[in-house]
Amino acid sequence: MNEWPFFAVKNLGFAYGKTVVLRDISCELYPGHFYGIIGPNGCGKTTLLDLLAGCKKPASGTIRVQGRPLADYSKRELARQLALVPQEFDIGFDFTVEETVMMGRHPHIGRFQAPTAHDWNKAQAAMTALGIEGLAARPLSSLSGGQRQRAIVARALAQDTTALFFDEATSSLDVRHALRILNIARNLARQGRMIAAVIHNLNLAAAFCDYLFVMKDGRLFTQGEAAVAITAEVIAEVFQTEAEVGWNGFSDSLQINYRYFDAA
Amino acid sequence: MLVTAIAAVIISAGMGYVKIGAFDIIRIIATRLTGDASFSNGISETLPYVLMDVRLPRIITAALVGAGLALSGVIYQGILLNPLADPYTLGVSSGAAFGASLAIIINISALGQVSTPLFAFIGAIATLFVVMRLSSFEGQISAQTLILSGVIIGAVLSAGISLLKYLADEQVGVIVFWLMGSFASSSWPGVPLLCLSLFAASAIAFFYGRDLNIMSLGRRSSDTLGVETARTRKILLVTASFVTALCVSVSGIIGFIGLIVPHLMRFAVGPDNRKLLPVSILAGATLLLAADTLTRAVLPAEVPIGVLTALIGGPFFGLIFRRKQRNGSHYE
Repeated sequence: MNEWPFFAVKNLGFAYGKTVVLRDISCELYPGHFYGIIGPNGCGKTTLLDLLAGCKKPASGTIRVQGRPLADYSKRELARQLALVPQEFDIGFDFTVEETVMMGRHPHIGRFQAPTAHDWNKAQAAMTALGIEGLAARPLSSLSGGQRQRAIVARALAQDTTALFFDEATSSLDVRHALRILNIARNLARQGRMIAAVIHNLNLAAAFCDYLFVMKDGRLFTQGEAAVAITAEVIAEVFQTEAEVGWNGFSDSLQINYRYFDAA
Repeated sequence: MLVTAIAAVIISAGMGYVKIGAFDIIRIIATRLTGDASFSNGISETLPYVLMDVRLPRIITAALVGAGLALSGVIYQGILLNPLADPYTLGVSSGAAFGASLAIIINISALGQVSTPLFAFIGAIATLFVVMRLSSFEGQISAQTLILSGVIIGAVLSAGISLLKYLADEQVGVIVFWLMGSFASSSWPGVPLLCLSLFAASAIAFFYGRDLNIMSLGRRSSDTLGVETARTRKILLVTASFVTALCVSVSGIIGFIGLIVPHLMRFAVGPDNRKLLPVSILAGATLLLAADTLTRAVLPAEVPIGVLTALIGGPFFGLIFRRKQRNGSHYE
């Protein structure tokens, strides 16, 4: 573990008007890790990501990025440190895949400068990593959901940041595409990046994340490695669902089985 | 495009009751610019007067207003993420119309000729201010609340205009005529102001061109891509609305230019605002000038320009839209 956390969050709180969505969140995130944020709908996961990404301003508490308060960063400086892959993605106008991926280079290119060869290489490499280099000239609206989501991940990769946030980035994808994107994220973490992903599928979270934050009602319920954070007790408490958690040899990870049916 | 726009200015300057050849026009302008009378040797003495004092102010105003409306259209569509947005979406036109109607009905003549445009401008800017106040929450302005606020304020102002028309008696004709837009009363004093603000607004828009592209990904994405979304949005909104207010106050409400020009140009050059902005400005200028020349010089009687742009623009836009759909391109 690196000595300094990339993110240091202390007593973070947030409210929409008078509705409190987050209270008293404290955590530290280090490079080289794949963090998972799990919890029921409406527990504040996405809000937490938004706060970390600087899209929202905390009502209380502090966030430090590499030791420096988040509020001191300009949007541009921050965008060189972290990238966000949103879940649903709606582009107002019909840009091509390449144009969209190139937008990831925006924080690195001066206002009236043209992209350099380095920028083009980064964009190209990101598209290749996602297997969409053949779609470069296609407009986004002509792509399938899976292709489009890969284009958005490629855009975040092209941004070339230490931290990458995935906000349910794989929820709408089929299993093959979801696994492909999660494996890319996992490899990035191994190469020293910091990944934080909101994931709804607990099996995927247990398999891919090496540290999990479990949230409930705007608070951190528990945190730790999958074996600690994903247990039958935690699932019963947080999701009000009966489950059985055990090691699965085939998937080589902790896996959860749910009790699907109501007792007759 | 630039050549087309300049050619349009020269050709339309020649058209009208008195025909003037293109070469003569250039000679007359050269005379004025250089002060050297030898350029216009052999040209009748009334021609320079017709050209410089009657036609050119109107032509240049029409071109500038067309450019301004197209520019604002691109900005509004980009910021509101809504291809249906146009310079009037936020109710700026209703504000201007209300101001102008008020000036006409209470017959303000203290400021002479400029009182109607001045009131229109004040009305437009006041509307913008109210709409932006209404739609901002904790320093953020969302596209949807902006459109909604614009519709609300627009509805209230429309009712106000109806009331003014009802109270206006014989002046109702003046109000209606103003609302439909016209360049007939354009004169030189308005041109530098219009020119200067259009220049400034274009510079601001070009400055934020790439940011505007990225803002079409939505606020969360643009924020994390290093765009100061909230601030950029406000700056561009105020810029576009200022230009619209100025355009409306000199020419009345001219529909469709701000809506269709950005669309047509997007078909041609794609959605990248860095290309879209300049071509739309030039196309807007050319198109509105052509429409104004049509009503001034070609048609037997002068049709209000706002009516003409909608009458021609609507079907034309429909045609292109259909063709685009048939070709299988998605257009949302």
